[in-house]
Amino acid sequence: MLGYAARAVPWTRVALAAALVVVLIELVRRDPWALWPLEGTAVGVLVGAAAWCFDEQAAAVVDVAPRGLAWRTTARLPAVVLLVAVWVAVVLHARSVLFEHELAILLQGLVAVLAGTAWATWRRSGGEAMPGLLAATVAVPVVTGWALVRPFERGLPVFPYALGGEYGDWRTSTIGWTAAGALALIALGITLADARWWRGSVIVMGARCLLRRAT
Amino acid sequence: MSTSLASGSTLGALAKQEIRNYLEHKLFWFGAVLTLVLAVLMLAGIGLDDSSSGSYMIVPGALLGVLGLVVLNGLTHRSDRAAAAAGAVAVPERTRTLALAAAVVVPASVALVAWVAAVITWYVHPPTDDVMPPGISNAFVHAMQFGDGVMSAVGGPLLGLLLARYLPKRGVAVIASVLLVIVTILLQGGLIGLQPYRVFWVWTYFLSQVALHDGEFTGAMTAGAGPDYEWHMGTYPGNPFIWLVYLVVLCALGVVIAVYHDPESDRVHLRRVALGLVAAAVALGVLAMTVGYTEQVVNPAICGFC
Repeated sequence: MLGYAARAVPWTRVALAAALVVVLIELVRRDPWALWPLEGTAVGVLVGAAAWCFDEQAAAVVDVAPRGLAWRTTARLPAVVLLVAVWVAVVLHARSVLFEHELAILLQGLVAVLAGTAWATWRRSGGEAMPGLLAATVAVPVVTGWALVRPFERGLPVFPYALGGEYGDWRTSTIGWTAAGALALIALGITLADARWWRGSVIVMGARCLLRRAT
Repeated sequence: MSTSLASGSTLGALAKQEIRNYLEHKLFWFGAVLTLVLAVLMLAGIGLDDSSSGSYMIVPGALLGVLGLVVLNGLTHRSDRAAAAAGAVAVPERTRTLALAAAVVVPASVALVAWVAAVITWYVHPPTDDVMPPGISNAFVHAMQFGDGVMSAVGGPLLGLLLARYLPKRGVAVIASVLLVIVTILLQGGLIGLQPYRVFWVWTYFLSQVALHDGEFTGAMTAGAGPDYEWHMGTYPGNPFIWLVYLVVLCALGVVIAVYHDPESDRVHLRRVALGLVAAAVALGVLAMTVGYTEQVVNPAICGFC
């Protein structure tokens, strides 16, 4: 399993993403007031990096091998664990300047990793070879843009700033992130269970149709 | 002559195709719709602070510029894949590059609409008295808004094109978009001293918040936490009018360098043009630093919304 992970995971890209996360949060730690948008950027990088871990260049060969999706996903988890460890470490290191919301920020990163993993695994289950690349190409700039602009922050506080209030309510944001995490976890579980009823359900068919159009 | 005519018509047809491709890109629509919605809200005065539209540029900069980098990078890769699949084709790389560069008219148009909305907002919902420092004109602000709001929507996609030509590896656009944001946020002005050299960067403020400690400018770094600091609105050193011309030259340079990548292009001629543009860019950057607005001008009234 470790041998597979060593060869299959794009370690250079994952390491580069982890280094970017460290740089981004370290900058936030130095001046959270002025550099706060970089926190959201780091969350976007985590989504892309987590999805990258599951890209399979040899999908045509691997997908027909006896090892199932669950085994292959589990084998790649060390890369995801690395991203989680880096996130936890940098957030804890910067916790004194995170406006006393380090747990909410921790949650954002963990949900980002979970969402990236769930998305990529789901797309891999459909035979797509490199879903991580697409996910990163969309998620990183979109999340970065959202973190910079913070549109509709009173009603839709994705990345609340400073003490909250007019800059977005931390509690509402945390509830939203928790819901997103729960959805991602359910999607991941069902995908890994490889349930036939799930694959054929109306919701999945509709989602796939939408995704096909989008991609 | 017939060759140049054929080449011209090919370029026109390809440019139209790339403009269509840009218009069909989902990331562009995400950025464009959000930019236009926020422009309408700005015009209506919804969510505006006392500085009116003085800092609206972050919206097109992020949603058309940063996203545009990824969009045009992807379109360039797509064009290259199509060319490779077609084998020996009659359309050279330089023509495809120019066609792709022409597609920046799409994000630029949206950015222009948002800029017009920002200018109208500036007069319909004018800033409060604690915003404009003495002696600073409205044109100063509009030049900054145009550079950060419209030129970024041109420059971001062109940077994506350039990266696709010289660093065609997977994931480069994603990493580049993050690096672009990091450098930009550090060079936005007023963060680490006055940073007069920041006019060489592609996105920066010329009028924004200024932290004063005992009447002296300190830089915004760590100022947010200090109770002894006073916040005012003020200019950052640099001439936004010359900086605008600098950005135009930089965009032209980007296109020339992208075309230069084609080994069959007239590289001797392109090298001369590129060197001329580099010289012009350096001269304009130095002029933007040294001509006119070289000192910081601060509004004496304490900023009520900073």
